[in-house]
Amino acid sequence: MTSPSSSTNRLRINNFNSNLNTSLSLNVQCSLYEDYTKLESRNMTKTLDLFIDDMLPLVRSVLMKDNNDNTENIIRLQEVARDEGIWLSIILRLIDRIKLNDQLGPSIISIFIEETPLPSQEQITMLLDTLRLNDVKYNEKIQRNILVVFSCLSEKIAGTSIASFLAEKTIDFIFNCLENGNNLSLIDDINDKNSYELIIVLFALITLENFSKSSKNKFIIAQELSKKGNTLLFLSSWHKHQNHIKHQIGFLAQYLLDNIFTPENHIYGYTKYDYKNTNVRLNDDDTSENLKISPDGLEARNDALSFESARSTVQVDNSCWFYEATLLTNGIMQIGFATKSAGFLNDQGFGIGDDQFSVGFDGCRSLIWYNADPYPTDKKFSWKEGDVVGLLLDISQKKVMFYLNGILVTPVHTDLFRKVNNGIFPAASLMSFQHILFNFGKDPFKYPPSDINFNCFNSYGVLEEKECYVLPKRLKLEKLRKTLIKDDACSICCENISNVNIVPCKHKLFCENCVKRLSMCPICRSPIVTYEVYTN
Amino acid sequence: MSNLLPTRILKETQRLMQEPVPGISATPDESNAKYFHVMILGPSESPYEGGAFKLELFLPEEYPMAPPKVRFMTKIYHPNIDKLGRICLDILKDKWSPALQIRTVLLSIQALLSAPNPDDPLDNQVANQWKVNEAEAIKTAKEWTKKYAIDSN
Repeated sequence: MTSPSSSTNRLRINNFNSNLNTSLSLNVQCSLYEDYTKLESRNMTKTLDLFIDDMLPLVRSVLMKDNNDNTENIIRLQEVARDEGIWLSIILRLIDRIKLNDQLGPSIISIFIEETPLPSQEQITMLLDTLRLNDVKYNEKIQRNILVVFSCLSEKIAGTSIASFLAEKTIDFIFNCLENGNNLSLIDDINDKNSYELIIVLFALITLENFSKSSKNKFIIAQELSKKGNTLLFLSSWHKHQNHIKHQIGFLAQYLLDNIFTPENHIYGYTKYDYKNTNVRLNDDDTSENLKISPDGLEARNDALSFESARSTVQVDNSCWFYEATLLTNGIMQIGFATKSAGFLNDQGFGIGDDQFSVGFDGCRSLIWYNADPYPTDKKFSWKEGDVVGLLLDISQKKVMFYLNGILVTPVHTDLFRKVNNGIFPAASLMSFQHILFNFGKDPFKYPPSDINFNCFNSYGVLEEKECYVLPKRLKLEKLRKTLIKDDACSICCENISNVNIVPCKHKLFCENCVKRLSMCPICRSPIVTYEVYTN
Repeated sequence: MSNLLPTRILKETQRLMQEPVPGISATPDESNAKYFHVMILGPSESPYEGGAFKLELFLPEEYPMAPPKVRFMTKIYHPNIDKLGRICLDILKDKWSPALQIRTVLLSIQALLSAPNPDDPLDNQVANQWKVNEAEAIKTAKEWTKKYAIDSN
């Protein structure tokens, strides 16, 4: 889908570039957005508004993959935002414009921030000053967008600037947003108004997580958390709540407690569930690095800017299989099946359905993905929060069928079986701020296909007692650090005993396994003709 | 259920903690053992002296058969580093060898700060400036160091 107005867009952006030379001076102390625009000349304000008008649909089309050739426009954005004042103007306009109910809203903000140059310490200070966090009570939309901007920026900037970013007013702002959670605890009946307030609580947690990636900030936040009592403990009780936003808040609060802000005598999430009849879960050792997995291994969530993926613990080789995924969010996800060969290239935006070894349904864009090639489905197959996606893998009939709330998504997919006929896992990829609940058959299915005989992954898989749950990453790491490493181990894998001489260069200290995978000697870079195995 | 953290990464992590390299710190992320928070101090007698530069280092699935991914987070004016913080260094690309380590990679980056190489540029604008007017380029590099890499407090 190419936009008919793209040539006008280009024209406007070109004009904008030429106006840049007469750009505003930003040495003046700026206040709020409206006051701030007064500093821009009238022409400038108009050009910037038009520029954002043009860029927003372009960035959206990058996300929706409607338009492949957007490199030129992204480069323009980078050039334009190189001016520090313009960068600030763009960020303020994004905060003002992105709608609260826009399912791609947070991702659009993150793309802008990802594609524009890193801000300096002064720019951050200026952003904080302009927002006047102490004086102004913003509506939920602005609050959410500020939190998204903060969390994207805190992921990008580092060192001394990140410390000055987390100024007292920043902390107060984030914690005020978090406080909403306490106030909302008394209300059982969630209407639209307080569901917006819940969204703010959710994004406040995400922002805290991102800021705590620097140890100094983590310390500051941990102190603040202990001052405010046990907000996280309280919020974690919402995990598995029937309200979808409360459920996500509970999940994140538990994650933060288990991994980052762990109190003394903490009761870890994984001790809280009953694992009877859990025979399949997501494999926490087979995910891309930023994905969050729930303690019971049946939920996946992504809050990073990348496209994160996971596979299940069980694979199948023949006959017909079914599982269900309940969506807590309605953004971009690709849910389906993959073999072990499917790569998780999270930072390049490749996941399930983006190679020849996987297929995924994406109800946000109404597409079926295979080999990074989207196949359009009927637009009526567009998912909403709370929808149930059914996934049927029929290896004997060589077809994959997707269902949205029990209705078969057409067309039926068959291409996967060109390259693949066994070793297939349930698998999924999630864009930023998306969350999926998986049911491999432990609980009754909501919409089981009535006309097809299928097997259930959960009655086939096996998990040992200690494998039923997912240990928090932190505990897993602690366990690993205590492992001892042998002295005579191979210098490449450090795992096997070294037992090989490379021929002809005679370099050693490697194992056969590693040398087999190499064509050049790791030490001298001369070609490996062959190797000799020796015994110690 | 395998695929735990590879022993090689464990060993490197343990050694980085026990015998740190002067002027360089690399700490694994608490929740992700393949992601390192890195700090490199600007080498003395370079335009980056006095600055503390933050980088991120990520070990891909194939490591050590494939090189780590490293990126400057702190803004820096250098002909071999672009404005997104990407680094032009042969050992991070085709000259990678599995005998190299996180430690050696970071040492090479530190050396690159001491000896910018405008003949193999990543940022053409910066490299040009470096070739045309080296004194001016060094001045800008010093200014950027002061602006972005030195704690003013």
